[in-house]
Amino acid sequence: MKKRALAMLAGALTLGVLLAGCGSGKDAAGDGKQQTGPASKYVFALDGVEVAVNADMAPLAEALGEPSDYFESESCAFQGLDKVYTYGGVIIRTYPQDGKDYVLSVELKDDAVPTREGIYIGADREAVLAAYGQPTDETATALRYVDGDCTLAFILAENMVTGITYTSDAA
Amino acid sequence: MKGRRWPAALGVALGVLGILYLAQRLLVPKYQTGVVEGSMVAEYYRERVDHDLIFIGDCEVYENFSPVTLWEDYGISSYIRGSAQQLPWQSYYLLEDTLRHETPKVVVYNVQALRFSRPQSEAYNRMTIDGMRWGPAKVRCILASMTEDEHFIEYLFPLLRYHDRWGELTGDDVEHLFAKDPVTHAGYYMRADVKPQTGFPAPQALADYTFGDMPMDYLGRMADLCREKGVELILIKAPIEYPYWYDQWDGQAAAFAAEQGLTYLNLIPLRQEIGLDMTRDTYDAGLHLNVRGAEKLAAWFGGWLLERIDLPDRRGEPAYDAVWEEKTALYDAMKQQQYAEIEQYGELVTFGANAVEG
Amino acid sequence: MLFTSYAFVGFLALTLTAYYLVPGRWQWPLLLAASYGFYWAASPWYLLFILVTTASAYGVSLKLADLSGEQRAYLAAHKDLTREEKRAYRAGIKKRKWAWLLACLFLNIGILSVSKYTNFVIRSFNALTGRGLGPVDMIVPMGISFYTFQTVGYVIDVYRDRQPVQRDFFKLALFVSFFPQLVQGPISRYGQLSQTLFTPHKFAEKAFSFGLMRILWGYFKKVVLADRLLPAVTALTGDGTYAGAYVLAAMLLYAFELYCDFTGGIDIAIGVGEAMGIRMPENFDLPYFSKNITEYWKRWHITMGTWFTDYIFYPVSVCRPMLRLSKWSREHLGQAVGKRVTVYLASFIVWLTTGIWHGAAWNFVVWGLANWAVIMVSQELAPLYERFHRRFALRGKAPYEAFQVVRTVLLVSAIRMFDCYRDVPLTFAMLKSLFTRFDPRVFTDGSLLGLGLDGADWLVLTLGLAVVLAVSLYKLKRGGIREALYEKPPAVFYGAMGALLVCTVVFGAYGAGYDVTRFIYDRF
Repeated sequence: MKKRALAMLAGALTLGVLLAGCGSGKDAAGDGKQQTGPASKYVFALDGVEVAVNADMAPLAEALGEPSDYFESESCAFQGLDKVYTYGGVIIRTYPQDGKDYVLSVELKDDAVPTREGIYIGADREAVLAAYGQPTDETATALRYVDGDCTLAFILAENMVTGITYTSDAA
Repeated sequence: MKGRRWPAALGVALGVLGILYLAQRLLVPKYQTGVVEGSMVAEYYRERVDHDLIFIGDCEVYENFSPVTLWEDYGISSYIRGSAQQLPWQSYYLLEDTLRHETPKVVVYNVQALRFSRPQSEAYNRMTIDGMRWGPAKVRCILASMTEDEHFIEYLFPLLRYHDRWGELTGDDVEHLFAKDPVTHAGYYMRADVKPQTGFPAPQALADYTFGDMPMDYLGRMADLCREKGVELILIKAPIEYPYWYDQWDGQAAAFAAEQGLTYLNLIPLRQEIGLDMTRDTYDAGLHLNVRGAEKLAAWFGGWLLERIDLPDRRGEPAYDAVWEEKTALYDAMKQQQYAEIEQYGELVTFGANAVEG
Repeated sequence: MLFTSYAFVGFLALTLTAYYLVPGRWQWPLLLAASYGFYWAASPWYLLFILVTTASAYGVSLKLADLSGEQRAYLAAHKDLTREEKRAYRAGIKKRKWAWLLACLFLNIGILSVSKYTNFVIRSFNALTGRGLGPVDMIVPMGISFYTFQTVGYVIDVYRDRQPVQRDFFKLALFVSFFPQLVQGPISRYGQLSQTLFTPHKFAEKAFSFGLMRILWGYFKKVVLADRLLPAVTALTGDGTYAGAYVLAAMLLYAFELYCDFTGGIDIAIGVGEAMGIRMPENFDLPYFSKNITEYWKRWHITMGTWFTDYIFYPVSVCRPMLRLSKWSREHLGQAVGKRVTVYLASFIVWLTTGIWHGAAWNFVVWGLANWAVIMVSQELAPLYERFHRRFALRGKAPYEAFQVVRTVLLVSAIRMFDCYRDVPLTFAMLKSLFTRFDPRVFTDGSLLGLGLDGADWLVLTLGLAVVLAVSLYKLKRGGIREALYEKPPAVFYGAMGALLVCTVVFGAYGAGYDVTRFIYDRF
């Protein structure tokens, strides 16, 4: 009798644990805060300042100091300004949302600054693969790595990196 | 329910519907001052004559071509069915909607928006779609355009979308409760001010220059629809350099046109021929043309078009004359008003950014 | 499908229409289909959980009922047994029943615990040991606490022979999954809900319109008031920025927000039932008019309180170890102290469980225990209060009663800050700042306008809360306002419904620009 009860208990508990442990991680108990998309491991660092796509540009602009060039264009129907900040060979583009500017893309134009993983413009395809592993997708002219809300693309010409861009997928 | 309670319930229900209807009329944005782009799509349905030429596209058509010039110079009756950030699928459904009302001889589509592969912005969606008349085209347009957070029911009952505007109502909302003033000239948005083009940032290198499946699918559907209706479809790229129009994009547009037996015309290299002076013919540093530029472009384009297609000169036809005289008068009056404001204040006051409330 | 989603409103309209169109005998199967559809829409995975709970409750309750029947039949057939033989037989049956019950409890409370508390345990383990175990990806099915408690309550009632067993699996499935109460209660008892859940209902104008009015009233409180207050409460309690008098503002605003949110959700749930002729238990009885915290807990989240009393406090109080402890403490500590030991301990367990039930975090544990401490201290001081009241003849005096009400609201609001800040040391620091950094000027110098709400928002909130207060006072003094309105000309009754609808649609904080998603209590 006692054994049977114990067996039942053990079975019930195991089933409970198994059932509760399975699944895709959907959590009904959210905190109600707005999600702009999962953060990405691909973040660019310029002069020690981390510039992630979809980050608020205001504090970044302050930390990065005066840009070497700045351009802004009014969106149609006055929905805000699209801004382009140039810091030497790095171009940061923003998009407006709810009265703030967020980073749309970061583009490396020359070999003055590498990515955080050490890839410069001019590196070869193998160096990118060694630093980043297999890309999410690959074409004849680009290696693309997607993580969270960011796509990191290495533009290739004759097996050499000619452009590097971090682009927001959430915008 | 007891018999005597029914009438009261019914009466209150009707009263509530009436109040909600009035609330909706009051709270939905009127787009009469400043941001007028939301009025553009609906304004088409006021037209009293047919058009031989229809432009379809985004700001690259509704700010860059002056239909009044096309009328004055060539007698072409034209209309621009454009709105802010009008996406390819929205252009397709607006074309479908237009072809239900009339059959023009030529449709000109500006290809700039092909770079958008998916729904973009709720605000622009509303400006484009809210003004469409209800029908299958509008329903499909909504379904194709909605961003993740949008709901179809909010298009069906715009009060659900705009209910919280009670804190920001203006005189426009009361004045235009039931009737709106025209804000365009056959779909053209006029700006007379000048801000010279100085330069643009270097183009961003893209990992993939291929247009997305969705925009190309809708472009194909535009071509099919025009063929089916016997309408000549012409693809153009307006003579605007920014946002950057890549050679790779240009190649795809040209290849599509060739494959479909259509004409594709990139106007950027033709600016000199057109006579555009981007130090004087743009009001926002080269993103859009001002009225001077739009008139130049329309004059050139009308000539180019007539060399290839036989469009009727409607001048002298009483119905057309009456309508276009009225349009021309309004057009001239607005142009004069804008020049006067620029003269007096150095900038526009009742148009553009200075007129945007809040 | 949240109550505040368009999808739910459409789902409800369809369900209500279909409910009165199908023949009476098909009404409850329709509700079962609708409930499963409702749950499926949240996540198909969830159905697996609720099916396991239902199947286990069904199987075990049948077994328990069969064992009780077996006992009755055996004893009837063996009337010649001695008392000892009968007792021994009963004990054997009870043991078997207990094993079945325990299995059912382990399974269901096991699922609940593992899905809700695994990460809490991991976090606590990390904090205690300095380890860095990562969180586990868990499914937490919507409303699992509510339907688990409701189902477990039913099985315990069958075990106690207080509830005849339901032999129709599908009827039991409807009891477990009935969609209005699935997300945030009320926690019904089978005996009560089954009286109206399965019976056919003809359309009755009064019941239907009363239900609709209650639904609208719920939406008004949730969408116009609670959700509009949300940005201010979030801003005030996001971190330690707003101290001193702001903490008082946060206490009061959160008190209103939580009240409007939770009672709004419950009104929608009960109203949906009413519109279909189904009676669910009340969950609130004007809690903010309570004169002390014990009374407050009898009037706030009533179905949870009675559930804990019936299924935790009572069994814990009379379980064998507790009886032994009671006997021991009376013998060794004297009658006065001894009799308190078990009551205190049982209450402690109840409040600890209540805290954990509210959330898998230490702040909820502290919140539960703070309630326990205040209630115990109040009980101890009761004779002192009694003498004070007699000495100054205060009982029944309106100003004193008003003072008691305000004091209780402030007390529960202060304790609730543990739930609000979700950080125990921060909550203590902020409550301390009430006394050390209190600057009343923040209420008058426009500082409250900087909390994400503008003047128009505050106007809507003030008027809305005045309406809620007026309706509550009317209920307190004269009874239900719906009855009173129904006695007036029909246009007045329907006009009030229409006004609620228009106000909710126009002044509701929903749609683009509002980041309002859930009901506060559907997290539990």
